[in-house]
Amino acid sequence: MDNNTKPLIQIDDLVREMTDDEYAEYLARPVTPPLGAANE
Amino acid sequence: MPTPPDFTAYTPLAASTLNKVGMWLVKTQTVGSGVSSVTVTGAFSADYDNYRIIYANGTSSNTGSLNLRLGAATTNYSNSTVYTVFATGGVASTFNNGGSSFVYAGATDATNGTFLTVDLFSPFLTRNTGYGGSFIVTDVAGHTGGIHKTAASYTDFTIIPGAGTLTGGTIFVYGYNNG
Repeated sequence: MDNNTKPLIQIDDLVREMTDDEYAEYLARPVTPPLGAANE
Repeated sequence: MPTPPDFTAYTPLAASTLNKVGMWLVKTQTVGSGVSSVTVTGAFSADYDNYRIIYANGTSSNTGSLNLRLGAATTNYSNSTVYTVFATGGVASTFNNGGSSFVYAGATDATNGTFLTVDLFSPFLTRNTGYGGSFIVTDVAGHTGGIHKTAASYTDFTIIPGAGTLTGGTIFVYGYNNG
């Protein structure tokens, strides 16, 4: 993804590109763990 | 006069009867195409203390979590999701202590799309907000629940996929009648 194309966010019916601040927060978001093997 | 749950066609319903309806649809929101988050505004108000949120029939570009955030709050979310793997019966879990959203409040995968169904307790009241719900994907299912340890009032919420984007489906918000 280049600097001119940021992810889209939706607020009610409005869909727009993230602002620079929103994009920085998006990049810093924690990575959620995948569903792992059962612990038993 | 009709008495719930038995009604009679063409018979007027009294206010006292309608006031006993347990759950009301607050709003719906159709999800757009390829969005990295969906914020639903005006979902919570003084009209109801507790709410049900459902998001189904959406698709995602990744298998993973559907995380839930209240208003603009990005701290103090603690929750756990415990699930059983259908193929083995084994139990596993994921948790979150003081994080930036309720992680795995729901989930999505390529086969069956989005599943998120949670009850939210007191999001509009100036109290800590709890939630509980079912956790479902194609190969596992279980329970998810947690608490946002900030005593604040919220009107909006956001659903955020842990990876990838969301397309389509409808978010439903219901309010439980306070009685």
